[in-house]
Amino acid sequence: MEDEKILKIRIERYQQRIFSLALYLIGGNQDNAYDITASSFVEVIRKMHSLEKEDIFFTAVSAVVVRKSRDVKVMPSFSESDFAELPFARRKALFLVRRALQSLPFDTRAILLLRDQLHLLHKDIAVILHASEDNARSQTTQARILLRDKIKEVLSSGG
Amino acid sequence: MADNITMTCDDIKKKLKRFLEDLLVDEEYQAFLKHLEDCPRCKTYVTSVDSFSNQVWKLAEVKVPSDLSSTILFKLTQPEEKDQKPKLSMSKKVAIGALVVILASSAFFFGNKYLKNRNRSQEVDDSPIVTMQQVRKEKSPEDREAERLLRELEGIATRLGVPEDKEPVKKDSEELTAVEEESIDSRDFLNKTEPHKDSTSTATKVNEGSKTATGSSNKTEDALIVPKPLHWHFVYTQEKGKTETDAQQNFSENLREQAERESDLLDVLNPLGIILDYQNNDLFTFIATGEKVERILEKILLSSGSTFSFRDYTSGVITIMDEEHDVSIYLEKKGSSALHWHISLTSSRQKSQLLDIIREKGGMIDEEFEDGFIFFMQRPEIKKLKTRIMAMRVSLLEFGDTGDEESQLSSGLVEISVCFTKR
Repeated sequence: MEDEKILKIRIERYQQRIFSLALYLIGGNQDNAYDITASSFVEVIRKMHSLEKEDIFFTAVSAVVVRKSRDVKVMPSFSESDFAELPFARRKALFLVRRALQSLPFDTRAILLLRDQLHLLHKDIAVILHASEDNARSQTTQARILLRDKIKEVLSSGG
Repeated sequence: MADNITMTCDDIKKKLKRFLEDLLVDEEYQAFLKHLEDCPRCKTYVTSVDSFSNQVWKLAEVKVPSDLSSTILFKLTQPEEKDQKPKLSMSKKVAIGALVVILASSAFFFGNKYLKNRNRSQEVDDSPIVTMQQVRKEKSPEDREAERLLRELEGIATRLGVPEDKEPVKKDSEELTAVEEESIDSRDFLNKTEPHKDSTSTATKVNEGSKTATGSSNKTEDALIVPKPLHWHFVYTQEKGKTETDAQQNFSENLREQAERESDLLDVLNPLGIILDYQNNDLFTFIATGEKVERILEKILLSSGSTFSFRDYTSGVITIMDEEHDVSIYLEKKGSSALHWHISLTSSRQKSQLLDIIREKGGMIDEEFEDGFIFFMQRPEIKKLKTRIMAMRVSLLEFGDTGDEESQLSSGLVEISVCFTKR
């Protein structure tokens, strides 16, 4: 029972970030993001031998989410109302970033989300994306440039 | 790890620029984030800075479904479902292995004797002697994976307090070492391809929902409820500046708005030659090939952000291009549409349980379909019914509403459409 409590606390600590990762990787379908998040947590927890290794738990779940999302075809289903409670300007900005993000290739999107949203270390991102640490570092910079360009593109097309 | 360095609020201010430019070394980066986790003031300060990387961070502020953690914990208590052949317990496998050895040895012994008797001049010494070790070696990778998962499941089940229905498995030393070596490491999850598809996951391949699952050999009394493959909500909001005072005026405005949105929707469908199968106020159903489905989606998404938005509640996201798919679209006015529920069910037993509860609470089932049903219910009873349904450990997503608080108390029949979703 004690373990179940620890597990619950841990799931609740990370579920938002993991759900969000899945959501943006697959284009915004909440139901699918829910399934991917739940099955990723289950897969990692089932393979764990102890609950002590919290530091790699989050990275491991993120890795499974990336793997599971890779084969899901993106069909963007976001709407501006997803951030309905936010002020108009902020909502617009987020909507813009999201549209730009969604138009990037999967790996570029993944690297941006893993670093700038989940704040994983480059060495962990490298493992997740099967790259070297230096490569992950340079790809992150490259991905930011690409996102910036996409945002400009979206803005110039009338946003 | 971040344990080596700790940061103060002053450090955060000093290092903010380097953080935003992603120039901190790993230890500093972790210490920086650790401080933000513990200090909401600094977190607000850092996220308020209008930096580029912060925008991606802010995207994470999505609402997580409230039942996510309980679903995960619930799934952990369930035996792992597999698409592969049924699992055998370790003891059964050992027994089968032993039987194979006995049979093989007997076959060898008697076969040899027979052949020797039949033709003494012919040498027959090519029959292999099957040893236990060879039997073990001949196990397929799937069997070994199943055994490994089984052992881990047993461990998890014990930790989570799930009663075990199997005898404790005696691990042989060779396999035990392999399992011990395989401690959790994020690399494990990356380099390994998924051994099987989680049958509860709907996110991978398409139409598993309607096509594969229906033909599944698993069709027992407790068969899975099959949701419609494509289920969309075309959501529009009330135009600004409308007053709620004149009910009659409001009613006609509503009708006008709905007609406008309906025409928006038909403007998307008609040029693609889509013929509606069914249309009733807020529900449109039609059949389209995967290719057309994609084009519809494209058109809808291009127009989204103007007067309506679009939500996809499809059980699988990939459509097969040349295959025909059933599509249902709900034209939904945000906040005031008729009630529509998405209920996730896992078995037909749960479906009949659900219908029983509705009848018990005074609901009248009007129409039943494969993937849902429509019923009528007195308005004040709806809240209680929802509580009862939630107690079944299913998830219920509600669209539309039951009116303001005052009208919720007043009696009157409400039409509720229910659509089964897959979790």
